[in-house]
Amino acid sequence: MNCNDTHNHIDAFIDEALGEAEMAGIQEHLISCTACRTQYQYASRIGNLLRHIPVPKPDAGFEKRAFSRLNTSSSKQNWIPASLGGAIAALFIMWLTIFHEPISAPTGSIADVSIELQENQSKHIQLVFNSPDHYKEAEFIIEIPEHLEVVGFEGKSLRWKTALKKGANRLTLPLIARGRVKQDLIAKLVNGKQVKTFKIKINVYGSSTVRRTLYIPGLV
Amino acid sequence: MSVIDLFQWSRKQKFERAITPFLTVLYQRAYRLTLSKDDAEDLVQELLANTYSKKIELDEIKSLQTWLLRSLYYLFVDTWRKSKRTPVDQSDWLDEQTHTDILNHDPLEKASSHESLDRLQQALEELTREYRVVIVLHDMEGHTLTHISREIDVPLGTLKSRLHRARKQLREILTEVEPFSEQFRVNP
Repeated sequence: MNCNDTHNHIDAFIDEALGEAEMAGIQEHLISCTACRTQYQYASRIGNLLRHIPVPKPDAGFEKRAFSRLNTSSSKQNWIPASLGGAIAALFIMWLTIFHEPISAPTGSIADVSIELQENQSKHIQLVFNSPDHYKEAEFIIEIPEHLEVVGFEGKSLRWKTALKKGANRLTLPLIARGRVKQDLIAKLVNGKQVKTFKIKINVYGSSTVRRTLYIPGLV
Repeated sequence: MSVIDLFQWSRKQKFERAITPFLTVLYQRAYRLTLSKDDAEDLVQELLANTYSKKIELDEIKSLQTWLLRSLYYLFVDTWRKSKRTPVDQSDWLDEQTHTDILNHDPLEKASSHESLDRLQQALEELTREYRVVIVLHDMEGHTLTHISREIDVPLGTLKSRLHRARKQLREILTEVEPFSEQFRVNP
């Protein structure tokens, strides 16, 4: 080993990342070469300092402050739970589009539609309600059947009052099936004494290809 | 509390429960990268805010700690802007018990170890972030290059040469900072 070899391999020597013969060769050179030994000791000392740089504890209340910037504001359409909206671009989406008749139409149940989910894989389902008018306070109810979850929500029923604007009103539901779902997912829209019920059949597959778009125009 | 509030609360609670076990390791990594308590907190806060806003399904991530550390790396290297709130707090380096350990570790460094740490901090801050990351992970935290390669998804060969260049540059900076420093002068 000469000075050039030692210079090129000094870091690997410190890390003991060389073969036995190379380690021995550099060690022998360091004994006889003052300049290289100085370089080695200098590099070793920096390494030693780096390993012992202290990490001070964070100030009290760090855990609380760490989560202080989580956004909990509402999404653009105030009737959509904020935690459900906005992630459409980031994740695979299954679209379920439903046009419904004016909410003032006779109360009744809506014909079945079905969607497909892969077990244990979340999918976004988007319901689009085309309202003919503005309604100040409609009530929306989601009933979640057994083995189906709305991601991030542990309950089995969601219920809230909201305004409906004229035109398209979107509700995005991130769903995940934990097994075979026997009952329908129920979505109800209530305006006074009138109720519109949407029954959504959930077909759960193990690993088959999922249909990407389900478009149901003019469903009544 | 409305249903919407309940829904948001539930999701936030779930997110916090999943992340809390990793807060310490995130903070420690962030501190070593930023060399400042305020900046470390800022970096962690930004990471968590970004993760939460993207609505990533944490349950589906195989190794959440590795995933969070990798995300912290990308945030630090690519987009994070150092906070202007406070200058680097030099006292961070001096007021901990671990600092006493350093003083005791090498008698030669007792006389001016405050200065040497201060100088080392300045030199680390002059490194590019890519270089600083590899120094932090390998030389400060002691991870192998193979581990680092997996964690931050950078090829092993790239990391090896990056580490070599980073160390070389660090030594050069230290020499430039204090060319006649006794601290780094080693008598034969």
